[in-house]
Amino acid sequence: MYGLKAISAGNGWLITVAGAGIVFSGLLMLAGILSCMERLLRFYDRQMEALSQMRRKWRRKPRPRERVAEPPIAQSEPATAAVVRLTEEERQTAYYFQWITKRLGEPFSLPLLLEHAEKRGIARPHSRLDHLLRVGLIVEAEGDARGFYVWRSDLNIFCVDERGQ
Amino acid sequence: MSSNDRLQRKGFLANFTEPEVETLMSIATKSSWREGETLFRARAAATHLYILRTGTILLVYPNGRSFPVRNGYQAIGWSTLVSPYHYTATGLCLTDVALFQLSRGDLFDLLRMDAGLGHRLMNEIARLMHERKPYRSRK
Repeated sequence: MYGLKAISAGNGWLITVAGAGIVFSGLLMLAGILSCMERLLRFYDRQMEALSQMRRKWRRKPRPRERVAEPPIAQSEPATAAVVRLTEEERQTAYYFQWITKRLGEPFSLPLLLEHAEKRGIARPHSRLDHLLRVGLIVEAEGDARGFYVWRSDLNIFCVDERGQ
Repeated sequence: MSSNDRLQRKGFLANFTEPEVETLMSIATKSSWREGETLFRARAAATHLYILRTGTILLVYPNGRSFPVRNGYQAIGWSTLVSPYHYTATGLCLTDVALFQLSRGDLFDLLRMDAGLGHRLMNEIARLMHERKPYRSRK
């Protein structure tokens, strides 16, 4: 027996359809996973961030003995947040830099930040970074982390035009 | 010649006398670099001591630490005068930069001729090394 008859006799059509079905369903599953990947990674990032925040809170919690030794809180004047004036372009760059450092984690390394900024095609990252350092939006970490940097969160950013108004 | 074209007694040169600054000026040459350019690389042979006129240079250490040098007349490249004469950091221009550069050969010639100047120069270099020591730490 040869040809189509032989295929039919050996369940060839069924096997072909089953094979194609398996391959296509595999591809569909793969496509489904890939389309969800971004959401999954975002979820993973959020969980890791929450975990690291929780760890930081635990570390900061003073022990009972330390709490006793704490000096009384001085009655200070209400703190007024400092103001940083950035043009729209600078603000945009600051936003991109923040996006990168979120992935790098704080404190971050400036050369690494520059490397990532260059890879992502941010315009004039060097002078923009210098500006952010000069206005004090990015500040040097203290202690063992000297030479690494963190964002200052207690600053209000004001958007101004090129003339500074 | 404008004041910007001459070495001034501030920053790294604040503790030098006027004649000493003049002597250093005699071997200094001016150079300009563009934003994003690399002035020198860590572990490369240190051929020049630089004195920053304008702009900002980011000193990047191999351990990932870095700090910007931007105050006028700060010295960069102390390794030029300290064995094994290899830069310990990479100098990266964050902005357009104008510098005075002093070559190692000329500096050593000066040190041989003027022990007082040599002593003051090495004192300033030692202070600089001490200031920047935390950035070289591997921890």
